[in-house]
Amino acid sequence: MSESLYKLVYLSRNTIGGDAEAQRREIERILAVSRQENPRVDVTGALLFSTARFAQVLEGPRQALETLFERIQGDPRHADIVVLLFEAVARRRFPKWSMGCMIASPEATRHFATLDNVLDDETRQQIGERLYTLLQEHLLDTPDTPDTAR
Amino acid sequence: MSSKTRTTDAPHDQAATVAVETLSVNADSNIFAQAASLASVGLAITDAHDGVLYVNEAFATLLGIAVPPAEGHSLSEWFASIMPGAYAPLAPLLARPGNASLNVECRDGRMVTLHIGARGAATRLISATQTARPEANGKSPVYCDPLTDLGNRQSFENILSQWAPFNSQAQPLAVIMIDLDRFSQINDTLGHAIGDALLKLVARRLNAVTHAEDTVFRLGGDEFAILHLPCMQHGSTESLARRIVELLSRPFLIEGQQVNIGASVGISVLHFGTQETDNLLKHAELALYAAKAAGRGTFRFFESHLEARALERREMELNLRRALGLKEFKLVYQPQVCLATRQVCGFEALIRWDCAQRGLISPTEFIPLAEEIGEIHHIGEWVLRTACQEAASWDNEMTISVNVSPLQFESDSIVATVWDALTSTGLAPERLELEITEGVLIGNSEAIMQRLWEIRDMGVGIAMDDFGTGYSSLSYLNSFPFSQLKIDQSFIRGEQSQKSRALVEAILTLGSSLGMATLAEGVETQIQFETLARSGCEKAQGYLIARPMPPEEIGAFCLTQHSRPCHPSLQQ
Repeated sequence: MSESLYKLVYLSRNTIGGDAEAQRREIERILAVSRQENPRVDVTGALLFSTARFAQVLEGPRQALETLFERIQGDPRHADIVVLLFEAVARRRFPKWSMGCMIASPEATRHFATLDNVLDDETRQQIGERLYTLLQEHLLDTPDTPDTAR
Repeated sequence: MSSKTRTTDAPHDQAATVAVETLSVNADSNIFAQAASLASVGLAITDAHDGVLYVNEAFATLLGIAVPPAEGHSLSEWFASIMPGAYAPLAPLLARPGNASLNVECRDGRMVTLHIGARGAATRLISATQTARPEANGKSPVYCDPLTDLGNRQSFENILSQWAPFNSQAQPLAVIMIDLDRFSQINDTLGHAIGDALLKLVARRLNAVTHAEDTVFRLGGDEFAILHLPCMQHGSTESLARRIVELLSRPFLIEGQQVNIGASVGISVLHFGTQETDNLLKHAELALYAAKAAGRGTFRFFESHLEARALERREMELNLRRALGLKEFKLVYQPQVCLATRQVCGFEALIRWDCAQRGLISPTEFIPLAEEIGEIHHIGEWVLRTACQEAASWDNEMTISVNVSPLQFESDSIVATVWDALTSTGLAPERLELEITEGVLIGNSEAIMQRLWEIRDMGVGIAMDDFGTGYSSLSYLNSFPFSQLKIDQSFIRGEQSQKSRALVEAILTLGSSLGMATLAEGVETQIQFETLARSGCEKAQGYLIARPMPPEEIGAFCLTQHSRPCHPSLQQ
């Protein structure tokens, strides 16, 4: 990896609406697009989703993440985006996932906080790291793409 | 969440699709349609009866018109409504089937050449190109902001000045003005490269949030404007404004940094409070000020009272700039007594403005304005000199307290101003005390500390005013050896609650342990006076002792104080 590798963790409010089935379909759509687009720009990551929240972890070249984040920002399917972590990393922790997915109950995501931009930096970082680890542990044995030499 | 529902080039795609469907030719036309939509040459295709089938973006833009001819409408009528001058020579050319070309002058003075193609069985192509014509100064006017690729203020004004509805109905038109909150801090702290990248992203977000018939401009700096055609099917202007505020408050990631800004939005709508297109920008700006005054990160529509208020403000500004020259300011003096000896020990100078036009105006009203327009420096200087002069005329050692605005401390000249006031009046520096609020210290700048120390080193006292309100950070007390803490009157006046009494006691303890004198403001009753005296407060000021008085009454007041150790009212 010649260009600097970064990780991005953000939290947002799910605004998809509709019943569980509608939600599931929309998530599938999001995942399908991500799994198609992300490999092209060398981005890997995972999405945690509940009917209340999204949390997404993305890893990849800084420029690619910044471009992708602008696109994500314009997506009407979520709101109140809080960036928890955006920093350089030595290596990927989701090398096998173009976009892993974990479904959580709204209760489980509730403790990821008040979605306020008033969160102080330290709290943000803590929540970000917790999410990062949670997703990584959960997705340990379920790669969404065949193990390629990434 | 990485799929994208709407892209900035969606208008092109839509237009291209229209063209493809309408022309119903083979798949190659896709290529042409795409190329046409992106061409810098203006292109319009009509049917055999002058009805518009397709126009690309460049067509209206080249002619300097915000609103392109609508599909299905007559192109001639569009010309008639937007460029009546060009219509007369153009109409016969459009009526004939053959080739023709015509130079037309846009209202901004540019010349555009219209090439009218021969009329086919079903279609006719009309193209527009800029006619090369050097300006008087050899430069052609620039209409584009090179950083964001948006139109600039010039093009915004051109388009607005030429705006005319192309149907007989009063087509609503809105100007949405956007100003970024905290942009200058970003520029200062993260650098111009990040500031510029941020502006580009803001432009992109604005383009993404608006509809095809809206146009986004960068007026300059961090100021953007949108010419918006309110339209039922896209929801209200209000929801667009709300969406802009929301979208720009979302974080940006730039060069490995997270950047958070916000936006304030002001909106004016033609025929809704604004009758002239000329006033749209001004009214949107006034609405923007209102949005900022409401705490930023929000939007406001223009309302006529905003204009009245702006006029009133401008008038007050003019009056304020003249007030010193017209000698409309005067100082009144409120006595301060020592609680132990019950003797008058000094006076606080307070400014009054008796405006010839408007009568008495409260300092709480005009000081913020004076600070905003920079007049505070002249006024502050006058106050200092006048107060020192007055105190120098007293034949005892009473002190004089003068309020100084945080703004005065932002300039080095405050040190010289204090020095001049002392030397020109001969007042002993120990008798002067400057009252500052914590606003002076909030920036925590070294330069300000330096100025405070220089003034203190002259022997002048520095008191912390309004203590207990605002942040009242203890670190401020630690940062400078204040000569006195003035306890804010809100803790003293009226029925004192248990809590405010506890706070007053705490401040008194704080003052005595830090070696700072304490003065209670707003003392109104004998009970308050006695309580403060028992608690160890050193000085008091308030209506119980006396209201602020003109200088000519000071002598008599002090005489009555001398003859009785206590002010009469203290014995009631």
